[in-house]
Amino acid sequence: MVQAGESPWKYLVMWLRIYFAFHYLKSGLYFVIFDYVPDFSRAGAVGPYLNEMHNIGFYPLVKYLEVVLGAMLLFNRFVPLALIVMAGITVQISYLNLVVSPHPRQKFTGTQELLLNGSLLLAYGGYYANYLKAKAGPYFLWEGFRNRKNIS
Amino acid sequence: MEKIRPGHFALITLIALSWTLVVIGFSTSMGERPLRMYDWGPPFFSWLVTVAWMLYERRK
Repeated sequence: MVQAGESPWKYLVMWLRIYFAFHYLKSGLYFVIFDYVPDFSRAGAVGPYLNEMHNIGFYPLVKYLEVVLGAMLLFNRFVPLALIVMAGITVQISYLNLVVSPHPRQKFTGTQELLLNGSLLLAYGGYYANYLKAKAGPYFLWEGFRNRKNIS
Repeated sequence: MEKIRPGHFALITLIALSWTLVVIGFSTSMGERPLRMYDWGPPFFSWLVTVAWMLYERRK
């Protein structure tokens, strides 16, 4: 059976993780350091949406979040958690790029986002196995931590 | 853990560099737009970091 923690898969996943980390960090830091905001008027149908996002301060929030999430992936800290948060951003970017403004270059951006986030979610999928319960009762976070400690 | 073999380096390199070429192709709209490190940097530099880490772990 293929083991995710064995070479070469471990390093393939490492490449993907660092790739996605750099991808997020360059996007976030471009805004955080250089205050760079793209010209939304050239973004086609997505432009007004991005403009409003920026006006209400949500665009800068996402950029700062990208820096935090990128750093989490780069330094290998809370990766499964970071990937779930990133999935929300991926859904939005992919929808805007693949459905709302499907220029060939945008189509690639949307596809790349889906591929990177999707394959990393699969690569770390073992951590989500407990989520996939068809019928789940209430289970407090601290109960889960206590049971996890007992198992290890 | 299984030892890192030359084939593993070849596999990672093949996938990473092929994908970098795909990124270069699409980000430049197949040569119509200028090539930017902003686009090709993440897949390429992450490959460099990964290979450096593999070499380090192989020597341990």
